[in-house]
Amino acid sequence: MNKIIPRLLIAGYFSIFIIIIVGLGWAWHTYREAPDQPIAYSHNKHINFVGLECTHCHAYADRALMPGIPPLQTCMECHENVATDRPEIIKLTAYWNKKEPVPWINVNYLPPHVYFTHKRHVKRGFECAECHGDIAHMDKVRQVKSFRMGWCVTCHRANNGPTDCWTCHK
Amino acid sequence: MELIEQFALVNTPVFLKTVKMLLAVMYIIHLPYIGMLLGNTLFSLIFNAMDKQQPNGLHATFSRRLIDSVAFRKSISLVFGVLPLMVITLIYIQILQSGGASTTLFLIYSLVPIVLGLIAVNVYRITFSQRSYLSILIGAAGIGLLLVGYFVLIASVARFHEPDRWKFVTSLTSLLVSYNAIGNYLTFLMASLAISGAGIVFFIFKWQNDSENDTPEFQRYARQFGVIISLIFTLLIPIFLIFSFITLPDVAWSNSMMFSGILVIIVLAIISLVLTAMLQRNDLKYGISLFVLFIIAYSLLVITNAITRENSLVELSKTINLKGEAMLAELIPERGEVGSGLTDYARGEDIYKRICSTCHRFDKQIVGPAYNTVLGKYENDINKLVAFVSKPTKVNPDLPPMPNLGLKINDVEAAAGYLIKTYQEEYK
Repeated sequence: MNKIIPRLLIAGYFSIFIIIIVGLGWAWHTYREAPDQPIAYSHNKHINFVGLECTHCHAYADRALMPGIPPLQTCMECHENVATDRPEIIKLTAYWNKKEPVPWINVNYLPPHVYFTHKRHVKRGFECAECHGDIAHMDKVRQVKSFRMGWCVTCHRANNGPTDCWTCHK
Repeated sequence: MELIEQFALVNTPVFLKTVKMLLAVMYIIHLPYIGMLLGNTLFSLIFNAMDKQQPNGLHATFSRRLIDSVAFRKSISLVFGVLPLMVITLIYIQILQSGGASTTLFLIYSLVPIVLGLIAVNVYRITFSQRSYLSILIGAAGIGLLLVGYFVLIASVARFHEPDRWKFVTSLTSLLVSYNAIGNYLTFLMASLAISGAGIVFFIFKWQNDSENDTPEFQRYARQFGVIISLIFTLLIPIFLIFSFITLPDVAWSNSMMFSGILVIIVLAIISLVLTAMLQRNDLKYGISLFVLFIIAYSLLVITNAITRENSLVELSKTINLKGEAMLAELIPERGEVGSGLTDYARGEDIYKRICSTCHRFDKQIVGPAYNTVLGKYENDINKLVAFVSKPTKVNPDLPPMPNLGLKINDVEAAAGYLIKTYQEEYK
């Protein structure tokens, strides 16, 4: 009996940590993992192999608050003829034929109480990778930078950007 | 930073995979060794100081036996200590290239206190017989240097998992102020002290022959000390392991990393059960198994760490691989003489059908222009077409740029030859 109790205690103690890891994993999977998009679009393929520029699709990246998600028309400029037999392009064509936009899931998201202007950062000379990670080599988009206030403020300080509250919280 | 880039060789995917495996092996060799060295020296210093305060034969013997263990032999120290550390640093330079330059520099800096610490610990061992306070001071300085060195090293390695912070790591303070680095460091310390306890049991009683000459009182004392120390610190490891998991950035997480973490916890649970059994039976029946289990736990910790690193550096690895492949392509000699592909029409037709026709037709514009509108200008200068396809540039602002297809020169020549021939015969 005396030998069993310490063993049970040890098993129980370590089980708690296994439960914690499983819980953390569940939370990460549910809230933080890069989502599967309706179409498995690869930035890596289009930028490094096809040779497209970021602004080819995100036309407003350097001239508006939001970079803009390309309309289906942009995709169909090429994919009306290119790789039409591939499963992902078949899905794309189906959206096009139904005249429905692709319901992309937002990955690099800033909450509504943050005023962020895309063009200001691009015009200041920041590369896309500074905030989006090496998105040019991503097959599946994921959020690399935390986009927490501390991260933004550290970068603003490092680059002599404004750090007063009003800049980002209008 | 330029120096780091000069050190790095050209990476190919296979080479990169091989050095990463070597990195894991080096860690598995180095970490248990350094853990035992740290723990044994620390315990030896404590018992030595206790004996100096109040002479006690048991403490003096134990202190000497700890420092006399195999871990302190010069050849072992070189093979398990210094050498793997150098290889680990070189591999990180190779894996990261200039990607994490400032963190890589701190990794190199950490070698200084670590090597000095190893020397000081060795001096403590050599001067142990003098039983002087100076010897104890040198030993303590050695421990201090090792603790500082490994904190910098572990913080640098932890920062590799946070590429979004690389740009901000400009000073030692910004390197060390990281919850994840602290979590990893405390896990390392707990694991070091835990394996030291197991090492006392394994090396003093199973490895060294003179254990038969020890008094039963010493044997009981050392055995109990080793087992209890090992049990206490094994129980503490998961707390800090979980802390280091929580403080990891999201990009470092994956299902395999969690699975590996769970395996670490299971092995630690088995180790604790074995230690409890040893404590209850008061024997050393499981001494070898215990040590093997610790090596397995270390291996799993190294694998978990490697998975988190790979998760964080997916894009960097892709960039480095692409760079390496491009550099290799330049080094690999072309098939045949330049110009020999121009009349290989069958190969040209095959390349046209497989690659070119994705975007081009002879008689209509698809993604790229129709061939019959552009090939005319290359008709009398086929080499110009070969040069353009080899290194395309944007010509028509209304159309997407033509990508670099990465074809060998003979293949480009064959395609160009076929295109011009077909154009002249059928579409001109």
